[in-house]
Amino acid sequence: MKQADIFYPHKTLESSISMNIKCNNAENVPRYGNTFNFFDCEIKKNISLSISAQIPMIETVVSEKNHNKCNELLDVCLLIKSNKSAFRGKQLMQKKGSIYFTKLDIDLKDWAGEINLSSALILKKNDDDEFGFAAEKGTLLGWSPEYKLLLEEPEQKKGKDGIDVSWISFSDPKMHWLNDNYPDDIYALDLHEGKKMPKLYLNKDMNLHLKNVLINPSKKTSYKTVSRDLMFQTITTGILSQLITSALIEFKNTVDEQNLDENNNDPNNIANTAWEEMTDWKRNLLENYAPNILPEARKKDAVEELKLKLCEDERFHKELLRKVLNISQNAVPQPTTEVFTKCSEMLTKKN
Amino acid sequence: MKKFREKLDKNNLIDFFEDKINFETINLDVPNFKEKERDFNISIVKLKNKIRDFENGFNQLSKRSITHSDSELAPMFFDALNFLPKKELLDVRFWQWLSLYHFENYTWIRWWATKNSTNRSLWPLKTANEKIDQIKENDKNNNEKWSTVVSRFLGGSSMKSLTSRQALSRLFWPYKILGSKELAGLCFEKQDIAVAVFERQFGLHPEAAKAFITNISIKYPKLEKKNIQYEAKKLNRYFATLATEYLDQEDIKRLIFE
Repeated sequence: MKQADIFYPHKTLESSISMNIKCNNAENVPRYGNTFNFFDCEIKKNISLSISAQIPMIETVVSEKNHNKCNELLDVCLLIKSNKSAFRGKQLMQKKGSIYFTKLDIDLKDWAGEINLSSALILKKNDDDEFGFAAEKGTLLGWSPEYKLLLEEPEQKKGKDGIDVSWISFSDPKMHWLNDNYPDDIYALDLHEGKKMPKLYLNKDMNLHLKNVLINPSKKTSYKTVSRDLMFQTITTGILSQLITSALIEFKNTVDEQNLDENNNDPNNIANTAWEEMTDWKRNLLENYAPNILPEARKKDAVEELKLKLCEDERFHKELLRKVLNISQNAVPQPTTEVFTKCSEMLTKKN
Repeated sequence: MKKFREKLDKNNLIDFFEDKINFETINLDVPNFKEKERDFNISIVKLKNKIRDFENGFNQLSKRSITHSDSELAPMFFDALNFLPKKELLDVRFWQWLSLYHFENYTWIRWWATKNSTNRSLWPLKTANEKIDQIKENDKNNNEKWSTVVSRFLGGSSMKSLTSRQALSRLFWPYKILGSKELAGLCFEKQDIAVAVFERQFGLHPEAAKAFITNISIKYPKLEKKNIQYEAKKLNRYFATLATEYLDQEDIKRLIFE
């Protein structure tokens, strides 16, 4: 659950609920952090899970006069969401000592994509009338991190995993699009068509001195390394600009298509739909760089603002495309001004 | 029953109409289909008859009657297809196959021909070129512009596209979530209601979808678009701090009338 950015007008748990998931009918399900890759294990029909949750200082979310009524006022639930399975539901967790517990059976023929699980502490009834404490039934008072059960292999790597870089000759027939006019270039970006991640190619046939500079791993400051950093900066800025441009154009095109639909003219809906329909890596890229694209927005609001502005304001899109190169110069790990200045200072320094 | 092996995209749709490529299909995985086949055949014949009546008579129908046809067809699609495993019903490749191989004319008529009098007069589109001209054009800057009918055939990558956009699944899924003819009738009475609920996440929670659809016409008998959108947004905001899944219809009704 992503709620850290929401301002709650009532008391919530100070720390997260800790949740534990155990698969009862398979051992060693591949797991990366909170993500279980069930598509990669031997289970074919049913997944049987035991889920437990521990809640720290549960009584702090109700007023002092209700401290002894926690069982009466609070429920702990397992929230189960799967958009691709058209499902949102909950299961009550039973208290056993200080731990809350439930079992979940997943019949794979009823589910698709991924399932998101989290535990939540919820107010059972409209009751507490003391200021600063939740009073509305269903209010979220605490939550665990979200766990993902991947039932199908994701279509592609996520954008934040970065793009693949390969060394290849630009005269290689595989690089037919570069063969005729660009066999001597240094780098190329293949944006592909469709949903695959873009790929960065470096020309295996480049000048040997240049190659040596580019692959130099040294962290010491020297003529060689500042030149290398300058080259990297030029490459990364160009590449990032192209990626951001491509993502902005795809989003805008989808918005325009949605706008043609007379049944749907709510800008919020259009923006959200276009966002969901975007190629995964492009959506992730804009999500990661939204604070750089909209430096004036609060960091946590940048994505939502970007979506809505792109949807509502035609000029904003054009203006952004005009500024992409500048956005990139500042969004790369070391701002371009710094790298260029450092290199120039080194080169002009008197020995 | 089949589905495409690969999900079709816009360019595939053009190839499909041009009959250039034979898109590979695979059979749906339906356990004990033999036992269900008789009922399926009966309900699919009923559905196809109803669709044929719609196709033959659409020129005489008002815009309101065309919209109303959704609420008649939704339970029929549900009756015919609900025996399929849920996983297959969630797969857009199945809906793409169904709309292109079995309900192509319906999709064209419902989402293109009935749009305006020019389109009505151009129907039927007989050749591949006539169809392609309608789904794709280039604007003055030579940018491709795709018609919205494309998403009626192809859906999209999100669940919303199944519950709200693909021509056939948008009838099946709301009915499955709402579970009654009466509610489906209310939902499709005004497209704004269907869009407001099923383009939003809370539409996947049956209690929230039912409560919204039941109560919106009580609160706003004239069902003005701006009020429908306002209430849907309001509920969405509530669900930032309330657990949607925890609430029943009565709780949600209270939020709507608050």
